[in-house]
Amino acid sequence: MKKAQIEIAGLLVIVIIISIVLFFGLLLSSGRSEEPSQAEFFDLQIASTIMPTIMESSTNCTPQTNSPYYTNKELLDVCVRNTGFICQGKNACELLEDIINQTLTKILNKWQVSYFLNISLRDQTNSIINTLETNNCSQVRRNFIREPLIIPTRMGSVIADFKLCQ
Amino acid sequence: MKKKAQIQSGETIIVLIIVMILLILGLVFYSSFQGESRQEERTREAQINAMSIALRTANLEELRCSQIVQRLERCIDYYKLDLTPDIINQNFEKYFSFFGNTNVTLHFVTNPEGNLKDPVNIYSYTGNFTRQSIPSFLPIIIRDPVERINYFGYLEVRVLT
Repeated sequence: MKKAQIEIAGLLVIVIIISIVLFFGLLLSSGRSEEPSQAEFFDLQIASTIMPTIMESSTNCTPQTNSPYYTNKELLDVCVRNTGFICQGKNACELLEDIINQTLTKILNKWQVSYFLNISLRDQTNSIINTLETNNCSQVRRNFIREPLIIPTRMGSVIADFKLCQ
Repeated sequence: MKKKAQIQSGETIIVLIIVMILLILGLVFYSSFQGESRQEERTREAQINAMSIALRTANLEELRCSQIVQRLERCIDYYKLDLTPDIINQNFEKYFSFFGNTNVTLHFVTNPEGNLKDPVNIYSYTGNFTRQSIPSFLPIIIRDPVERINYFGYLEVRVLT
């Protein structure tokens, strides 16, 4: 083998080694991004439990004296039936929006998570309450979507579409 | 001839040095990556453990709501909260196998009747620890069956290592 050929072979070995190092480097770094991070794990937990829990919690409004407080789920039923119920100078839908907004803001801001919530009757595009959203969460590509929560009411099923994002 | 041989051995040495540098860079990169992923794995395991303890706490007989009147998932009885932390403290050995090295606290987020109630410390690990994990949270209902009020709250679990 000529000397020039040996030198080219040596060069080739170096190029192959560099390629292997780069290949493994890329492989490891790409594999890493596909694993769910701790923040993702955290968000998935919250996304699946927060809305059902909020809907079961009590409001500070009662249908009449000496009866138990409405839960948010019951207030939603009053809201979709449009019964003319007024509490603290607000109708049921306004009140529900205030309560949900305050609760979500109180905890999710503390945990530094953004959210999107839209509540509407099934087969209807109009929201029952104004859409609640922080930091353009619905536009963020990587958000954590729980399957929409279906809440039965006397006017049909209500869909709560809730998303969390980082 | 001697000079040419010297140049050739110089080339060989340079090639060897380049190969060594590449190998060292690869090893450094790989070991730092392994270290980071091990750390992430430990953190994730701690969080999964914390969430598992939060879920089990919500289902602990000493705390959970009676299912006779109303069936609620993830529900803690308001009145049991008055007694259970003391019972747990008095029987720490027994409950250590359940809670392990953790701090479990219940926070109230809403109260229809006005002022927020203070957080309740359900279990505190009393041994030594050097660091605590990122907390895990579990939204939960705290049910007052007498006044028929459902408070919204959350369990906070921190794993101590």
